[in-house]
Amino acid sequence: MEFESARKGDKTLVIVRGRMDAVTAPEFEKEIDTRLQAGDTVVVADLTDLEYISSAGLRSILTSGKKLKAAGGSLAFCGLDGMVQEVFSVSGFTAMFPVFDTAEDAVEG
Amino acid sequence: MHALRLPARLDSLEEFTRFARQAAVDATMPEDLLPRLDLVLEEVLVNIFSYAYPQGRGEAEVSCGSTDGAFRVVIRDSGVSHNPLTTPPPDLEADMENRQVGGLGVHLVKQMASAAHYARDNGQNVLTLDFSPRPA
Repeated sequence: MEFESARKGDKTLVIVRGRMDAVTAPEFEKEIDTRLQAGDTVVVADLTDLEYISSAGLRSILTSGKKLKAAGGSLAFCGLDGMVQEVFSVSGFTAMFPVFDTAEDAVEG
Repeated sequence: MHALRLPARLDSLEEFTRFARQAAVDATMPEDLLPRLDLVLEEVLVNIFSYAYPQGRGEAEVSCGSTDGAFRVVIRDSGVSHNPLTTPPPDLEADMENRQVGGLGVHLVKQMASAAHYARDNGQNVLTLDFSPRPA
């Protein structure tokens, strides 16, 4: 999995690429920890280029969301598509997290 | 049905997944089945790798092929007797603070497969999962 982070006003956009599976999922949590240490607590994760996610990925996302919230921030998503969209939906994650169509919508929203 | 048997450890996941994908392609299953297949294999196998053999090493076997227009995957292990389909469903309505971390794997398996059946047979856990092509 690869990450690319950029400040967009008071938010931080994290572009996530690759697969979030049992092997790689902890990398997402680590990336969010790094953002938190840098003082970025309002994070939008762009999943347009995430090809695959399993329950290990959902676990990493939920833990990260809880950490950001505890720090007074939030975690939102954009670019959900295909199986990633389906997994988010059947797991109740689209109801639990703010979800936007595009990065532009998420950064403005 | 083709079968592949490998040590029950995380290193084996990729080979199991590649094997099942190839079988699905050979059976001319639609492409949107492949990520669902990956997901179900990961969820079931990682549980086997983690919990089936608390005393040490063991093996898992994946066999797959098409039956009556559906694609069937059978996953076997000789570990602790365990029916994953009886795992209580997660609370999907809970908000983030109250949401439990974990417990979603079996839920995803049930959502992605069109039918799921468990049997304890001859000292083995046998999980049979069918995937029907979805209407376009």
